[in-house]
Amino acid sequence: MKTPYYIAGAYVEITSVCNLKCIHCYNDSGKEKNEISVESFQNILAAHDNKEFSLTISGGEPLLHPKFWELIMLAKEKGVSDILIITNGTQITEEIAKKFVEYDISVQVSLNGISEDIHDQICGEGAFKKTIKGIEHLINAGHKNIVIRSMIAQCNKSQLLEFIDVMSKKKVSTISFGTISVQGRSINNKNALCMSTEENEKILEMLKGHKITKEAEKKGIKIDLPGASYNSGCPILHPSEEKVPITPRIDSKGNVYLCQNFGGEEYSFGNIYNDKLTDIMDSPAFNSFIKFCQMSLCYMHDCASCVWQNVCGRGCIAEAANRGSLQFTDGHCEYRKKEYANKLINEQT
Amino acid sequence: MREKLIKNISLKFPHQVHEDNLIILGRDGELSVLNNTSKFLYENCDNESIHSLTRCLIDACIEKEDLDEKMVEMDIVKAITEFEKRGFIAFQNK
Repeated sequence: MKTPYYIAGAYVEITSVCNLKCIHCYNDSGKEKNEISVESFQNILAAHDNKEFSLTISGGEPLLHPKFWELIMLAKEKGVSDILIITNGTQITEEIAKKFVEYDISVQVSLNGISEDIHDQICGEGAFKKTIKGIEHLINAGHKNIVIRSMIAQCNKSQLLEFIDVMSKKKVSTISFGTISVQGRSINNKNALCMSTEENEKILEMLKGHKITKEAEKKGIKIDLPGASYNSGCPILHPSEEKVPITPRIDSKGNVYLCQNFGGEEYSFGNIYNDKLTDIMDSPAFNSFIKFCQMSLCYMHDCASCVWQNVCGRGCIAEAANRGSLQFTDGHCEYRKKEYANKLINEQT
Repeated sequence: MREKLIKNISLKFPHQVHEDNLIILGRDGELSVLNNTSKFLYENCDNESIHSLTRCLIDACIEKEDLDEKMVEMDIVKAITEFEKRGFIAFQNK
């Protein structure tokens, strides 16, 4: 059965150019110089049908795209109202901050430590001061939708509460945390960055229940914690009668992927330099890719001897791919198994 | 004569130990949860008779003097019958 879907938005990496060399960058940004052209950007915007469509513009550092504002204007003219820029903040001047306010564009600034030493350990020397300056420009411009985003990593885990405490005293709307995706530069920096699923879960539980988090929420600040870092399955790969929202990732070369979690070009099923996004998502290549992923779910090696093989959604197939093969699991099986077991035992007792 | 129990097919079923429980995925796709006592019986039944398995369970209990051996044996028969029905064990004909 083919699961119905709709394009809910697009995650577009408009440039691979970056002034920072963050050790966790899934994209290995700054290594190559690729940029989405204005013409190909229009092929993405063609997917906007005046209904639900959110456009996330990322990079590299998107503000380093020479036609950044031209792309923004195109999206605005097309009627895209929900635009989010993901930036390292170092390029945000007073003038740029005012323009973000004027055009009602949400801004997510990556800040990976609340102290200079930790942030700079991850993002490079001098980055902290420039990023904080950028955040201050946004606040001073009266920006109402500033998202501060930090990765949860080995090297910053001890200061996450302080992070919430300090940032909640500034006029930001959301403090967001994410987990490390083992792709790009993070592969070579696993020790400084990655934690086990169990450790991640413990940290998330601690953050959820802590009074500092609750106090920040009382002030009206949204604390956005990542969902469980394991999941039961990719919704598009399992039968459903409800339409599944898809936000494809488009990399700086124009390659289109199912979602942001997919990395290697071998998992791309189209290119916006050649076709409109809507045509790509309706193409035989996309259908073949989905079928290929669905077939792969049946051949994950570890699942054959697993007691939960009939009930498990097989987790995130993109994470499995990032671990080397679609026949691997996403690495979060143990946590899923515990959850399934507790649920079953509760049902039977 | 049905004399001894064997778990000859047990390990072919995917199974998982979770805390004190053993969860087994049966042939028909049904999941079975064996609690602490059932797990003990399942793990120790190989080449045992019902009677010897009863003794084995009673010996493992702390307050064994409070147990009625006949009652325990009847409960074990019920559990073993269920195991056999689900294909987890078989009787070895003598």
